[in-house]
Amino acid sequence: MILLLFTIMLMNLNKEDERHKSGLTIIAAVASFCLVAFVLLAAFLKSMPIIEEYYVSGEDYQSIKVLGQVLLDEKNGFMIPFEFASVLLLVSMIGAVLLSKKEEKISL
Amino acid sequence: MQNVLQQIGIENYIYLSTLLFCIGIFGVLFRRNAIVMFMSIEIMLNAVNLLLVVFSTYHQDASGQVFVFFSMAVAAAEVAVGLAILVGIYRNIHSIDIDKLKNLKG
Repeated sequence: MILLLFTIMLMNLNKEDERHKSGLTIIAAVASFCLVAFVLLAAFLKSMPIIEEYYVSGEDYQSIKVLGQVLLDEKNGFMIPFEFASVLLLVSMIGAVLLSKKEEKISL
Repeated sequence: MQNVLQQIGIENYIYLSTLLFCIGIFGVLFRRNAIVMFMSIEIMLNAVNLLLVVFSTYHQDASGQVFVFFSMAVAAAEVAVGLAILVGIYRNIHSIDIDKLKNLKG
């Protein structure tokens, strides 16, 4: 969502910037769009659920409380991946800052 | 209380997810602007996340939504590094049109 906002902010939506594309590109893109849609829809329609009735057990399984317990449970939880996700975000943030720094500072 | 899957139905979620994924593929193949291609990749990721959440609700199991958390975190990291790389590309060739990235072509 943030990326969408950034994109709309960063792009200069001028018509003259949009270069004319060749017809082959358009045809290829539309053809691949239709083919991928066909394949995905065929696969999903083939594997539609056999059981039509959908029973609700009444058990709470998607509130924040339950999700937090599943995420940070001591035995079967995702504690270590959670920590590694934070490390990954930190490393990517540092990498983004390093990559977008000025060139002169890197060469010093 | 009526469940959201009973109201809407799992088929409609699957159709929406398929449509979003195909729009993402179309955007990656059609647009030449690198930021728009990033946006299309994000649309594809979000389609898959939507499907994961839907099947997690369908099976009444919270693990799928936990997986979506990690997927979103990795997507955020990817976008941060990708945008930084785009900044580097723009500094070098003063454009983010990927048709101009031909320097490695032999």
